[in-house]
Amino acid sequence: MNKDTIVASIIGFGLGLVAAIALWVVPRILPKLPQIKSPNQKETSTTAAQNNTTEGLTITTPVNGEISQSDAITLKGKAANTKLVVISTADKSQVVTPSENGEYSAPVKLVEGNNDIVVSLISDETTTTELINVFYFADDI
Amino acid sequence: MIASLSLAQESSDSKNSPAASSMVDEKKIQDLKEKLATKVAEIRENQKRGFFGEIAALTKTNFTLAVGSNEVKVRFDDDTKIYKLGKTRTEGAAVDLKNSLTATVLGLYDEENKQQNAKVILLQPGQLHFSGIVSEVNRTAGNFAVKLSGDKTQVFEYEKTTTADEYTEAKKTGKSGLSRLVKNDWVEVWGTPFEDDNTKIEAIRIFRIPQDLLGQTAAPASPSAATEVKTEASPKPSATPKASPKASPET
Repeated sequence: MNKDTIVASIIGFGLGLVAAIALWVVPRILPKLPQIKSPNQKETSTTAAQNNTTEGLTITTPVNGEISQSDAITLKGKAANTKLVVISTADKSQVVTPSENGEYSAPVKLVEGNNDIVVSLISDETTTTELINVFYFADDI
Repeated sequence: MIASLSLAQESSDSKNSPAASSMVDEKKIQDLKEKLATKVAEIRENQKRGFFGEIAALTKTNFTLAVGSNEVKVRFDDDTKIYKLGKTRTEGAAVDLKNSLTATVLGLYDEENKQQNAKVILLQPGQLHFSGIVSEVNRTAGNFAVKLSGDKTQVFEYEKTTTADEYTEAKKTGKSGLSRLVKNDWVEVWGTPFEDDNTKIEAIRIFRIPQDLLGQTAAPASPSAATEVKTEASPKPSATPKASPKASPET
């Protein structure tokens, strides 16, 4: 075997190795590439996040219609661009100042049966309100 | 080169060919979909939740609960516990259910059929909630008007039993009253319509934020930094309001 044949074989083997590696690696890389979300997907997730939400005001817990076996709960949520948040039930009102990232939280005492809980976001000229019903019943249902 | 290429191809085909992996993925997705559907069906059938509204279209085993502008079908039977809520809880019966009474219904909600299978029914009065800017105060007549959202104005009667509190400059709360209400204050009112004229609302509890405190920039505080206002026990309305408690301007 002369020198040229040996060199050609080595080059051929090298090229083959590169091609084999490419075939092995490319299918594994492709699924990891970032996927572009369609506008519809984006809209669905926004809608889902808008549960218990009015413009700039969100109640994260409890959820509307929730039944609690305890008469003491903690109401949590987010309020954007506001100075004052009023959390109110038929018996009691609380004024809360949200934290820097807009989060607020306050203890709420429940009465037996239905409790309308109204959260009001007060800005200079407008009031945004969100109402949920939370039910307190100590017995198992 | 051909040998190495074919070796690499064979290895790739046998382990990770797109067709094989997509078949495996589809099977997994199908399995997951089935599990998810079963779980969702279970949750839908057994979702514990409550509703509050006005009873309508009452029959021996069913009624419709008017919840705001929506309706929920409620099914009850002999196992459904019925109570009347006042100062204390007393046992009731199916004969106590009447059209136009307001009730809380706790049970399992079947979302597919939009039906609540009642485990507990609590007959209880409700109150309406209003909030807005005070537009007029008539101390002689003992009432005040509030501009609500949508440019609607509502007049509230201030009674001897009405309790009132207000937010103060010190970020605390203090006693308030009709004499302290001023035009352009922000107020929230919990009340009930009068039986003879349901356009008039009896104020049961008022919470006032003076106008000059509305524009102030409050320093951000911890989320739990709350100022609590506890009022005396609100007098219960003498009669169940005619209007649905959910017919609040906010809802």
